[in-house]
Amino acid sequence: MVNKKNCLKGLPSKDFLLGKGIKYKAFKPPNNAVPNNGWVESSVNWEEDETKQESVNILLTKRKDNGDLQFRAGVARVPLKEIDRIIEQYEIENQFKYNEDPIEGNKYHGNLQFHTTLLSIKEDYTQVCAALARAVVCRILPSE
Amino acid sequence: MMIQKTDQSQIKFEITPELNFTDNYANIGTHPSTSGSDVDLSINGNFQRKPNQKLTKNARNSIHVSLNPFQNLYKNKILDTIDKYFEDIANDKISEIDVSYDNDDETLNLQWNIRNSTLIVVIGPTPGSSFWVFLSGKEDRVMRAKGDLDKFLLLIPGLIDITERTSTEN
Repeated sequence: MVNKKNCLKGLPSKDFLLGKGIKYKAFKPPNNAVPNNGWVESSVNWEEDETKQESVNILLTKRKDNGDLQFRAGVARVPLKEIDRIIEQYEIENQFKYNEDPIEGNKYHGNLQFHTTLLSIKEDYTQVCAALARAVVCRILPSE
Repeated sequence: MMIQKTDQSQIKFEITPELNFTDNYANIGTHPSTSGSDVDLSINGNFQRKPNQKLTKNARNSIHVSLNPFQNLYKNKILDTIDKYFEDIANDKISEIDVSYDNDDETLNLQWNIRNSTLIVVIGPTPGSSFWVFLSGKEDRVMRAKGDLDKFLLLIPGLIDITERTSTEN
């Protein structure tokens, strides 16, 4: 259970943008991700609401080891109710879920979790990732 | 599904509520929005071609790897078809097409966001590893199929027309 309003997904580069929209790949778990008990995770931040900037700012100011911004193309915001809608509509309650997973320096961290049974059928998880991308309501850009 | 080609520029495209994909075609799930029962998808497409406009120019130039002949053939067929049927509305309805190659599974991935619809075509190394997914409308109405990309080519005008019909929902 996540008691937040929005999901924030960091976008590492413009390669994840398509016109005014987002490519489905932005939500796809990394190809080299190792399943944990059958689940593969894709990191996100949770946001209490749009007026509270801290969660967004953590992502927008996050830097890689070389000093570059981690999410140069900004952050995509998806309402949690849309994620719940996708889970219900596609009947994937046992194959896709999310959690809160606070880490040091980022109490808003969490994950979108894809079960390996979903990932084993490319057209299924492509459809789910595309639905998530379509549910993006806005993109928040870094200041630099 | 009935596909009736009436002439070169007009394709009748109709999906019955009892979507009956067979063989390589598979309907996903059982919820109403994928069954087609809650949406009228009957289409009489009539698209005007305007020469010298290439919506897909950037997409054509975005691949810098050597594609296998199957992928190259269908990449060009799909982009040619999109150009053919979309040129009349390309000017005022923003649309971008992305084509990229995924080295991990050797697939060519095409994503087209037009208005509030999304089309994804994955061209695998073989016909059997290829599929397409189309989502449209305020909530996702889904069409998709696996395998036969020649059948998909016939559907493109209809999918374009669906984007027009559903674009006023949001």
